[in-house]
Amino acid sequence: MTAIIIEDLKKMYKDVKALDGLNLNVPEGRIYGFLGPNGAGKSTTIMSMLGIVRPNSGRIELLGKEVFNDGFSEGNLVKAKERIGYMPEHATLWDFLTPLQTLDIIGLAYRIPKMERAKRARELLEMVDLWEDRNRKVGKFSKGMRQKLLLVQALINDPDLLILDEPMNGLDPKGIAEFKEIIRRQKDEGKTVFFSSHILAHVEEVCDTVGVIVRGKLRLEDTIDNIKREFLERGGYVILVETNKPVDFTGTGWKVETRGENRYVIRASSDVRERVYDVVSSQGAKILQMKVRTPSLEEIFLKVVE
Amino acid sequence: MFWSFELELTHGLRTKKLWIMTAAMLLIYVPTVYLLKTHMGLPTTGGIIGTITGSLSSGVLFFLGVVSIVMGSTLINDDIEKGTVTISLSKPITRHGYYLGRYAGQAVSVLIALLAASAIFLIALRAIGIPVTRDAVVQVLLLTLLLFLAMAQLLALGHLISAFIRSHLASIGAAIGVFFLIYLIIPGVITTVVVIKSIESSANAQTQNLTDNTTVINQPNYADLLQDYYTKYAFYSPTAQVNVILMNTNSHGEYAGIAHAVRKSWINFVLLIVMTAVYSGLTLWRFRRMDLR
Ligand SMILES: Nc1ncnc2c1ncn2[C@@H]1O[C@H](COP(=O)(O)OP(=O)(O)OP(=O)(O)O)[C@@H](O)[C@H]1O
Ligand SMILES: [Mg+2]
Repeated sequence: MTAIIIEDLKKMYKDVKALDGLNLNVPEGRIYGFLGPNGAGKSTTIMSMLGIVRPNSGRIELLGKEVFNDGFSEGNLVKAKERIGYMPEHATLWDFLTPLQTLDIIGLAYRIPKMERAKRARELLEMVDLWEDRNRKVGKFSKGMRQKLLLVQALINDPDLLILDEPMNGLDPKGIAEFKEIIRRQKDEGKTVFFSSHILAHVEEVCDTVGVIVRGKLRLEDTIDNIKREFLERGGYVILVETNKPVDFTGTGWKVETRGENRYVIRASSDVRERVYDVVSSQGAKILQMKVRTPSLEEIFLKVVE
Repeated sequence: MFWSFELELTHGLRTKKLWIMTAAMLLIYVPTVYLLKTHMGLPTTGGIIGTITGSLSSGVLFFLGVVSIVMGSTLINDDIEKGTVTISLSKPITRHGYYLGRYAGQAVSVLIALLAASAIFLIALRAIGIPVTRDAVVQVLLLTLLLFLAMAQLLALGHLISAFIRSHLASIGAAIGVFFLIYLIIPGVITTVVVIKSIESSANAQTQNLTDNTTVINQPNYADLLQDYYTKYAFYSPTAQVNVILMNTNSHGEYAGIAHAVRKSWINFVLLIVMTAVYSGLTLWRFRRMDLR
C-alpha cells in the first residue's frame, strides 16, 4: 500500500498560489524528507492532507483512504487520522494544561482507555526527558520543551503514518539525537514518516527518500542514492588534485579550474581518478594529493531550487 | 463532539469570567431583596421575581450579555491565532463535531454559572429570613433557564463574529459593538417609534387629551404594539426577546409566573431558540470552509 498519494493538488490563498498541481507518492515504510525553500508550500501540503487547509482541487489518499477528491470526505478523513500522528510547525499547545493533561486529552481524542493513556503518557514523557516536568503548565515551557511535547503528542496513538512539519526546529543536540532515535524506531517497526525540514544534513542522515517542492510543484522525488548518482552523472563529480609542477588538462573534456599554484579542481560526469593519474604522469608530473568531493544534499538542493 | 466538549469545559471552568459573572449577579440580587424585606415586609414569589427582573433590566442582563457575546467572539479565531486548532483537527475529529462540542462546553459552563448564582441567591434569601417557597424555587429556575437560552444565543452570535473576523481583539470589539446595537440602540429606536405610533393612534381616535407620555405608556395597546414591534424588528436580539417575555409575567395585574409569560409570548420564545440555530448554523457553514491557519 502507498502511505500518501497526492495528485494534481491546487491551493490558492486568496490571490497567492501556494500549490500548483502538486504530485506526491510516499510508499509505506519510507522515511520521506520533504524539502523546499521558504514559502514553497510544504506546510500547505501537510495541512491539506489533514483537512486543516481546504485545497481547491486535486486528490489525496492517505493509508489507502481517499480523503479528498475535489472535496473532503469527512468520514474517510477521520478514519485515516485514527492512524496518523501530526506535529505542527509552530509550538502550539494549550498553555493552561500540563504535559500529563495534554497527553491525556489527546489520547481521549483517539478513545484510548484511561489506564492505557496514563501508561503511554509516562512512556512518552520519559522518552523525551519531560517526566520531571509532567505537572508544570505548558505555558511556562521553553521552546525546545514545547517542541518535544509536540513530538510525543503525535505518537500517542502509535501511528502508522507520522507527519512532521519542521520537527527539529529549536531542539538542542540531545533533542535532535532523541528525535533521530524515534524516527529510526518508527522505521524499524515498518511505519512511514513524512517530514519537512530545512536542515539538510539531518535529512540526509535519516531519510531514504526525498521530495523537493518549489513554488507549489514537486521538482524532484527519489531515493537519496539515486539523486546523488544522477547529480554526479550530470557533471557533479568533483576531484581536487595537487601536483608538483603545472599540468595541462586541455583535450580531456573536463571542466578544470586552477586554484593556486599547481592545484586543480576537475569536474567530470564520472569517477575519472585513474585518468587524472594518467594525464599527470604522462606530462612527467607527480600527484601530491588527490581528493574526491562527494556532493552534499545541500549542494544538490540548491542546484534544484535555482 | 464529546471530545471538544470536554476540552472546552475543562477550559471554561478554569477561566475567571464565569465566576465573575456569578458574583456580579449576586451583588445585584441580594441587596435589592434585602431592601425589599426591610421596607415592605416579606416578599411574595412575584415580589422576588419582580426584584430579579428589575435588576435584570437595570444592568445584570447587560452584563451577562456582554460576557457571553465576548466569550463567544473568540471561540474560532483565537484558536486559529494560537494554532491549537491544528492540533485538535489533526485528531480523528470532524469539524462540525469540534465546533458543536466546544459550543456545548461553553454553554454548559455558562449554565453552571447561572445555576450557581441562582442557588446562592436562594440560600442567601433564606439566610436573611425570607421564606423560600417551592413556587419561588421553580420560578427562579425557570427564569434562569430563560436567561440561559438568551446567553446561548449570544454565544452563537459571538461565534459567527469569530468565524468572520481573524483577529481576536478586533472580534471582541465587533462583538461589543453588535451587542450595543441589539441591546441598546435598536430596542431604543423601536421603543421610540412605538411611543410615537401610540401617540398618533390615540390622537386619531381622539379619545383622550395627550399632555404627556405616561398616559400613552399606560394604554393597553402600547404594550401590545411594543411586543409586536420587538417581535418583527428585533427578532435577532435575544435580550429584546427576553424582555418581551418578562413583560408578560403578570396577568390581570397579578403575578402569573414565567411559564404563563412564555405561553403568552410563545413566538418570542421560539425566536429565542430558532435564532440560536440560525447563528450557529451559519457559523458551522463558514467554519467548515475555512483554512484554519
Ligand atoms: N493564511 C495564508 N494566507 C495567505 N497566504 C498564505 C497563507 N498561508 C500561507 N500562505 C502563502 O502560501 C505560500 C506557501 O506557504 P507555506 O507555509 O506552505 O510554505 P512552506 O514551504 O511551509 O514555508 P516555510 O519553509 O517558511 O515553512 C507562501 O507564499 C505563503 O505566503
Ligand atoms: Mg512551513
